[in-house]
This record gives sequence, structure tokens and C-alpha cells, in this order.
Amino acid sequence: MKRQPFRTAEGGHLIDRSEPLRFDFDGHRHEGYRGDSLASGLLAAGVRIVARSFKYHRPRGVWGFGPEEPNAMVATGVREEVRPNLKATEVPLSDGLKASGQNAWPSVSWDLGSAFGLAGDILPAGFYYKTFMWPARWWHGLYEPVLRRMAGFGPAPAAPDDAFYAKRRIYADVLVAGGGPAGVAAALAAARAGARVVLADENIRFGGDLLRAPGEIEEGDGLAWIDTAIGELAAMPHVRLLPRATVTGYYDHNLLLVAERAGEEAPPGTPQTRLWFVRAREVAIAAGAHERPLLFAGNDRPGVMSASAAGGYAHAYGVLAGRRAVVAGNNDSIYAVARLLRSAGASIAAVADTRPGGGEAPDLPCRADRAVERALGSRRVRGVLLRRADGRTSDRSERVACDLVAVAGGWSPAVHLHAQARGSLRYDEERGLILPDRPGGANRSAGAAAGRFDLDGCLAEGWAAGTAAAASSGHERAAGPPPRSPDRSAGEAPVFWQIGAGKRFVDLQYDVTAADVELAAREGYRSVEHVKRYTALGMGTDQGKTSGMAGLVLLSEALGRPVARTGTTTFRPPYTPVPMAAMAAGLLGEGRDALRRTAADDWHEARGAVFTAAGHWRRPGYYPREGMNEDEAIEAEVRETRAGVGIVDVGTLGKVDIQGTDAAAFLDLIYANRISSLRIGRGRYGLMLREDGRVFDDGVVMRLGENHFYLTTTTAQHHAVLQHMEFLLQTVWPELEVYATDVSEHWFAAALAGPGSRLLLGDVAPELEVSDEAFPMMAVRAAAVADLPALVFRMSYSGELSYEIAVPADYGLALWTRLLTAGREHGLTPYGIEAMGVMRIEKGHVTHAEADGRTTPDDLGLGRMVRADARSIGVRSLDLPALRQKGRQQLVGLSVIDPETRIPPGCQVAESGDLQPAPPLGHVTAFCYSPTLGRALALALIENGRARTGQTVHIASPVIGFSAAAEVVSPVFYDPEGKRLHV
Amino acid sequence: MLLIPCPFCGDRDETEFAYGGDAGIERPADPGTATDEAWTDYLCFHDNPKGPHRELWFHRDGCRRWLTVERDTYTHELRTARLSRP
Amino acid sequence: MSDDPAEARRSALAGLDLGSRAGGAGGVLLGEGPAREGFVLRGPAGDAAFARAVGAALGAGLPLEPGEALEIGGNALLIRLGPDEWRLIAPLSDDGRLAARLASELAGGRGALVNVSSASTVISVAGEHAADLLATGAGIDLDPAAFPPGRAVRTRIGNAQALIHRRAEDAFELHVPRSYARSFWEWLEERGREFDAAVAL
Repeated sequence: MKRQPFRTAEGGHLIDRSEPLRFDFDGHRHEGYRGDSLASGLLAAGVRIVARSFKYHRPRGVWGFGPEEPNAMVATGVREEVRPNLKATEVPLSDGLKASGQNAWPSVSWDLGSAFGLAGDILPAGFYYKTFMWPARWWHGLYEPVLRRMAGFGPAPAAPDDAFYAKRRIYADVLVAGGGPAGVAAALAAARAGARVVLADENIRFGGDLLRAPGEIEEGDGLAWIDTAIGELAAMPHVRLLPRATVTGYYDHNLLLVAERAGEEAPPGTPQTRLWFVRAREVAIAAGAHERPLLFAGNDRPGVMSASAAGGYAHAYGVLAGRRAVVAGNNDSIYAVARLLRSAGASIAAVADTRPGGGEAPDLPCRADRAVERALGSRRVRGVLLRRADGRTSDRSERVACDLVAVAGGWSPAVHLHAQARGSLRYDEERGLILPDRPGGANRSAGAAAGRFDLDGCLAEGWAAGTAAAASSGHERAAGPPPRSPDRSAGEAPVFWQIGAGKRFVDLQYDVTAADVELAAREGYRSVEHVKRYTALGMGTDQGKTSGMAGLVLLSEALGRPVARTGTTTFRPPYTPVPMAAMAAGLLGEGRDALRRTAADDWHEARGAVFTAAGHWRRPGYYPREGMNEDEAIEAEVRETRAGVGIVDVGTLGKVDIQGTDAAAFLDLIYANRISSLRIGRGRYGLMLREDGRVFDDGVVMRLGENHFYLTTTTAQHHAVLQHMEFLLQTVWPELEVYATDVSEHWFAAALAGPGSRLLLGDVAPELEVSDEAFPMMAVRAAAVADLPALVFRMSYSGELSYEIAVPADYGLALWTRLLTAGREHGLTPYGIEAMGVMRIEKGHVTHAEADGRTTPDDLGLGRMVRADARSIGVRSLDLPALRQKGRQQLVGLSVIDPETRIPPGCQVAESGDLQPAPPLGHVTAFCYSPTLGRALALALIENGRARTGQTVHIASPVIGFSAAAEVVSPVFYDPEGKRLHV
Repeated sequence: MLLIPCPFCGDRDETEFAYGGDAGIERPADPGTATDEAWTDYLCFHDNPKGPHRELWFHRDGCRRWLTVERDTYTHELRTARLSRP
Repeated sequence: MSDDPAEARRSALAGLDLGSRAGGAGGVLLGEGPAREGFVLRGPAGDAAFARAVGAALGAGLPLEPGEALEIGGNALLIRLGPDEWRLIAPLSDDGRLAARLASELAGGRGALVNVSSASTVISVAGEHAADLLATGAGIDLDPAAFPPGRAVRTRIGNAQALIHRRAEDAFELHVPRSYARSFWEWLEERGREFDAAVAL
């Protein structure tokens, strides 16, 4: 048999006949040519059933030519590399391509699911909501597995997609969406005026409708004119041409998303999809129009096809979608399509025009006032019944044999981008068109997208839109007169939608019939949005490009109200599906998210530290030890620090340099405690409130000079604190002369903690006086530490004698390793944030687990720190009744009575341990096993907590059935007198 | 994604900014004498209009200035953007 | 222990061992730029005494255009980053001399000078597709008409905030916060696959 039985002997401007390609569809080998789409390749090979429908599993063929395709859903590749949910019309043929049709099991031509089609009426509109409801126990065993196999769109790939995907951000004066005659004219006019232009078109070649049918521009071939114009644009440095690129989304302030597909000849490494984010001053929407179906029984049979697509396959690819065609429609385009098919070698069985006055073409077998009532055949179309278009039953139907029914139901302008930009739409009753009305952004619709269907009109509108868009973006150079075409046919279509009875499909992809829409109306649905969700009309991957208008008209008719009152569903991005992998480009693998490392990170990694995430930072959680599990290793770090000396990386803390003549006054205003009384060379714990009185952040403030301070923030709130300071300095107290500079990245810091820390510091900083008298608690010193320029601050978080040493981060690793080396003879132990957390619980220090955005200083037992100056941020709020009332939750310590008990995560605190439903007293904020005290400890926020000191409460997790008695104690479990700070 | 015309940096994406709420809220000059009611009004009771709104945006990833922006909360139309402290 | 702090200096990218991977040609060359001294200069642009002090210390006027990167003495830069913020970038060999002059001129007047020399890692991105690579993750308009050579902007790119200095149409220097530098580099290399990015010698 001939390899490509439906390929014409010549013609096809998109294909290269010198380069045959082999491909495989559902296990059968076929041949096509370079330039073919999978759809044209399949049609050339005579494959008519390409997929099965979603609900009834009816056989489906190719309907369209491009992204409007509702039927021909395929998957390419196999198993691991399968790419599902592609439209055969958009898949470029490549040598060795493997593809399969979707929604069929085991194959499209022999599909078990089609039994549903025979039992069609058991699956009416809303069948999801009416069926499979009960018995509930059938869900797992029966409904779910069966539905899972039947439903959905194709298989998910079994392995990660290792293709490369890319993103690019660009700016343009004018983005032109659509590269047909209107779009090319717009781009040319704008570019000649000097505007920065991006021209995007979904096809592999610019030309739009001229790819499907010949036309004349400037007294020559239309496509040749397009090629010349594209050549001129390509030579301009301020123009970017994007073929194979669909403008899929129109977002706020003229940000548009363009999805560019790799060509089949793209060199290896080319992104599979590249998403362009284009910020355009002006947009020219020249997105064309989609041909509508006509509704008649069997209008989904393989072989029933959009007329412009049927003509297009002949013209662009040299492929006959059938040898004997009936061309049927409600407008003049059917005659041109019939002649195009005939010149490509098909015979024309009939040209049926629904208009009573139509059919005056002596060269064609015309039938005026006739419509297709029914398509005959099951697996493919074998003929049609023609009947008077008004559907009068007295007339007998005419039976016409054919293997192709080319249907022309008029055009729906692609108003999607206009509507996504929140432009308004209007319904032109006479022409049956939904048209762009007032634009919702800086955009203009032109050509078929604006309801202008003649070539001359498209060129004129495109040219005008390009000229105006360029002028609005500041480019007014004259671009000359617009190109002209003799095609000034209005192409108007009297509104005609459906005829006859039987299964008339509106939405081919989701198998929604005219009867389903009518049923929804009968059942009381009025809103078009509800009908969409109830019937699933327009919810497929084609998003109703072919079905939306017909569904709207049917619903309006069923409800007896004008289409304009029914309105449309909301147009949302994307216009065509965008691969998830493309959206994830740059967000996968290495560098997917920021990972912040301290200057000593390499050491931690080499030492085998187990890291813990703290925002974007990674911090050593603990350092594993031979022969110890995680808990034992953490406990060892705590014990060795408390008994000797430990070192911890605190490089993640936020650090801010504050300078200016009003620095001290400013710090008094942003901290709840007084800072201005600090002496130079001393530091103080500082408590920052939000304006509503809740604790915001805490840290240490050091005074380096009269008007110079250095302060730390918590790791988590560092950016928030800086933003807060700038807010106050720029909007509340602009008269203050203060400069707050983020120095977090400049400084690395490590803390030495433990009774042995003084000796070690003395060793590494020989010039520093380290005695308790010379270097007291809360003092800061500039000194050389391990021969590095450092700031040393004596403070404590662990509860032991402790020094924090900060050096410029470039020296951070040197400081760390030199301290470790010098510390060897002191038994220096590196510890991570797990051990740090245990020690802070033992000392009752608060973190964001306690300062959780709801607690006040008093709730946390820090009320004494607040000085009574209501001007300071948050202090006035502490006087509000709600913050003073009894019954607030307060921070307490909980000492578990049974020393063997360990506390699980997520515990409440309850009065009783019976785990019966009751309002909890509060919740556990932090818990640990304390190796120092030999029992489990918790910090908790509980109602009237401090008044309960000495009482027994219960730490409980009803979810896992845990309960343990604990005594309410002071949150400072360890060394409440602070003697350890002065050893 | 909004495009915010920063008076210092020029047009920048919304993602470079942090939102700061209503720009019309004035902190009572002497919080100590503010009644509880006046203080809670300042803290909590802010308008959330549909339509034109003067609001604060912090140019976190640019000039680190707080801007006062006039934005229509329904259409997202931005009319003006100026430095809160000139 | 060494007595020379300079020998203790370590780049945030040291762990990547870029030297051993350098070589090859691509559409973009990525490299670590030489470490610099960096100082944040704050002060009121309109204050004559402040401007005079800066001028006296640096021998150049205060750059006033947003993003203007003024060359000082051939190897240092003063960049205007905000209404009251500039960044002074000097070679390490300057050894703090410019900053010391500036600090002493500013003493007693308005303004502030803060050492942030360790805060940034310098990454160079150069070659035919340098701007294209940056455009995979930056929101600003990289067209030379909008962002000409000699300008510098602070913005977001990829997973970090960065100061981007355009040295030439196809050559950029990115000053990335130190803690982000390594994961930013990894992001840059991964996105660079599109342009055959190679590590500069």
C-alpha cells in the first residue's frame, strides 16, 4: 500500500517532500514529511480515529488545525518520557516520533470504554454529581479504580522530565499577539515607526489564515507578502520574532506570558518550552478567530471537520482529509474551501448552504437552504443526510455519500486576551459575534479577533493598531500607507446553530451535547458559570474555543432570553495549556531556592553536621558521633558545653549598624526598654514590640560610640526589623537623623560558651583583658582574636559564661577553625542549634515559639523590662484592657514528674489527664529532655500561668493518646540566680 | 503582577516591594494622652475601599524607600507613586 | 596561626573550586570577580556640607543620577543606590585609605560610613548572552537603552537580591549577598545551560 495514501501529488507550502520522516502511532508505523504536524501526518496516512472522547469514549478524529483542537488528544513518547495531553495539530512531526491516542484502553480503535457510548443516556449532564454517590463503601473497591482508568487525560510520565525549560523576561513597546495578516501588518507599522516590537505567533510559520487558504496582498501572493514583511522585521534590531509561541496570559499592567515551543529541528539543549514574560507598553491583539461547529447528530464522527481546517490540510500540507467531501455551512467560505479541496484532488459531493439565497456557484454541486441533519457511519463518517435548514419535517432528507464533512459554522473572534485584560465584551446580535468592546489595558484588538474577517480589513486594522500602539509608546515616525488586498468580502454569516435531534455535540472534548445544556436549563441552572461547571462545557484543555459560543446560544434559547443577557464565562489565563515544567523552570534542582550558608558552612559540612533549615539558612542541627544516636549526640554537646566549653555558629543573626545624631533617641523609641542610658562599650538586651503591644523581636544592642550602635536581631525577623526601622524613619519620624544599615552579611559570629570559655578566649586574644572585672558581663571589646580583627561581646544565651566573637565574614572560616584548633586542649565541643535549643529551654529564654505574635512582654514574664514611655512603639497598647485582663496565657515551665517520660510534639496543656474533650489551658511551646536536670522539660503558655506555680497540670496529646503529669514551675529551670555567668 | 513606578529606580515589578497598608494613617503625636478608643482606631480600624486608595509600598529590593502610591484596588490602575519622605 | 589576616580571607565560593573547572567557551562566561572593599555611604544628597566632605575625600562630585556609577581614581566606584545611599567599592589594594579619608572628612557632620567589605561576593557574567542569562531571572529592563554601561542597579535576580553593575554592553558584575552567593551561583550555572555557560579562567 502507498505509504501516504492521502497525500496529494504536489503542493503543501509547510512541508519538505525531500525529507520523509517515519513515525509511530498506537504501534503502527507511518510516514510523513518534514514540516508536517502529527495531525497532518496521520491524515496523510489515512488514520482517522486519533483519540477517544472523555466521557463516552466515542471515536474521534482531527477537527481543527491548531490550538482550538478539541478532539485529537495524544501523548508522545513512551512510559518514562511520555508527554500527555498534546494536541495532534500542535505536535511537529519528527523522525522516530512515537505517539498514541488518548482516553482509550487498550487502544483508540478498540476501546472497552465505548460501551458507555452505547448506554449514552445513563451519563447525562452532571453525571458526576448524580451517580457514584452511594453506597459509599463502593468508592474504594469499584467507583474509584474504574473512574481512574476511564477519566482523565492520558498517562502521567513515570520518570522526571529531564528536558530543559527556560524563562526570559523582556520589555517591549508593542507586543503583537498573532502573526496573521493583521498581526504582521501591526508589527510592521509599529516597527517602522521605531517601536521595540515583539511579534508572537503560535504556528511554525507566520501567516495565520493565509497558511490555510491563499489570499492576495499588494497584487501578489499573500503568503509571499508575509514572508517579505517578516524578512524586513527580522532585519530590525529592535524587533523580536517569536514563531511557535502562543501568547497565553494577559496579566496586570500589561505583563504577558508567551509560551514558545521548541521546533522539531531545534539543536540539542534548546529549551523544550521557553516562557517569555513580556512587559509591553502597548499590545496589539491579532489573535484571529476560531471556526465554529454546527450541531447535528453525529457531528463528532471522525471525518467531520472544520472546513477551514480541511482546506488548510490540503493547502498547507498537501493532505486530503477525505476523497469525497460534503462542504456545509452558513457563510461564503464554503465555496472557497470546496474549490480548494477540489483543486487538491478531492471530489465535491455537495456544498450545502444554510442560507435560502446561497448556492449560486455553477461550478459546484450546490444545495441552497440545506443543512447537514445527521452524519452517517460510526467509526468514521460514510455520508450525510441533508435537509432544509429550517428543519421542517415535511421535506424528505437527501442522503449523500462522503468520507469528509467540512463544516463552516462561522467564526468566533479570539477575544480571550482582550477579556483576560478585563476588557468588556459586547454581543452583536445580527452577526452572532461576541466582540471586544472597551479595552481593559493598553491594548487594541485588530482583524478577525475584532470581528473583521476580510483580508483587506484585517490588514487595515492591523496597520492602524500598530501605528497607534507605536504612537502611544512614543514612536510617531510615519510608517506609510497600509498594505491592501482585493478581498473585501464581508464574510458575514447569518446566525445558524443547529438542526435535528440525536447526539449533537457542543463540546467535543468533554462530550457535552445540546441535550445536556438543555437539561441543565430545565433543572434550573441560569448562570452560565454554573452551567459550565454542571455540564463541564468548556472545561477541557481547549477551554471551549470551539464550543463556548454554541453552548451560550443553546442556553439562551433554552432559557428564552437574549444571548447578551446570558453573558460569557470568565476568560482566564492560560489561553492554551502551559507545561508545569516550564512554570517550574529555574525553580528545580540546584539553586531552586536560596540556600544561605554561613562563612563556616564548609567546616560544618566536612564535619558531617546534620543541617536544620532556618528560613533560607541552613544551620548545623547537631554533629553526629560514633556510636551515638541523635538524642545522645545532642545531649553530649549540652553536657560538654556546660561542663567545659562549646562553640556554636551564630552567623545567621541579623545585625544592624545604627548611626546619626538621633541614634540613641531612635532606639529608645523602637525598643520597649531604655537604650540611651547605655555607656559606650556596653550592651543591653533589647525588646522590640509591634505597635499593638505584642513582642516583635529581641536581641542585643551595643553602644560603640556616642552616636553609633550595633544591634542584633533574631535570624527570622532580620528583614522585618529593617523594614520596620525604615518605615518609622521615613514615614513617622522623618525629622530624626538616623542611618540604619544592614551589616548582617558583613559579620560572621561564633559564640564560646561554658565555664572554660574565658581561658580559651584568653589564649586566642592575648591582648584582651578577660578577667570578670576587666571584661564584665554585657561589655563589648574590639580586639584581635586568633589574629583576626574582631568584636567580642560578653553575653549569654546558654546560661553559661559566654562570649560572642564577630569578625568580617571573609575571615569567618579562619576564626572558626583557629578557635577549634586552639580549643583542642580545652576540650572545645562544637554544638548545633539542637543543643542550643535544649540549653535555652533549660534557661527559659524565649524564641518565636513563645513570642508568637500574640504574646505581650508581661505574658512572657518580661513586663519589668518595659519602661513607661508611651511614645515608644507598642508601649501605649500595653494599657489596653484586652492586654491587661486576667486569664491571659502566660509563660511557665513544666517539669515532668516521671523522669522516664518523654514529651511528643504538638501537646496541649490540660487540667485533667483523662484526655476527655475540654478546653485546654494552653499549649506546649518547646520541650526537650534535659541532660542537665535528668528529666523532660517544657515551656508552655497557659491561662493565668504564673498563678499556677506549684500546681500539677497535664501535658496531653489527645490525638495520640498521650498524657503526662507535670508541675508548673518558673520557666528558668537552670541556675535561676545566674551564678554560672560569672564563674 | 503590578508594575510600580518607583520615583527613584523607575518601573519595577511588584515582587521587589513589600506592601505597607493605608498611607493615610497618622500615629497620634502623643500616644500617652490618646484614649483607648482613639488608639484602637489608629491600630485596627482602617478603611478597605474598593477603588482609589493611597497606600504604602516599601521598595525592599531597590532603593529601600517607602513610597506612597495611589492605586485603584479594583482595577489596579496606579496613578502616582512618590517617596514618602522626599 | 598566621599574622597576616589577608591570608585568612576566604571567598563564599571557595567550596566550589571554580579554578579547577575553568575553561571552555560558551555564550556566557561566569567567574568570580576579585574581592573588593565595600562601604555604605549614607547622607543627605542635598546637604552642601555632606557633598563637600565627600568631594574633598574622593576628589569627585557626588553622583546624583539614580544608578550612576562614578569612577574614582580609575579603580574605585561610587554608586548611587538610593536617595540617601551610595556604595563605595574599592580594590582590596586600597587598604581602606579612601574610606579612611571619607570617614575623616565626614567626622562631626551629617552622614554615615559603614564597612560592608565582607558582605558581598562579586560574580562576573560576560559574553554574547550575558544579558539574556540575567533576563532569565531579573525583572528589570536589560536593554542597553534602558540600562546602559556604567550604570548599576539593585534588584532581585534569581533567588537573591543583587547589585548589578553593567561594565559594558555584554559584561556585568553582580554583587551578591555573601550567604546567598553559592546557591545563587548554582542557580546561575543551571540557568546558564541554555547558553552553554562556561567558567571563566
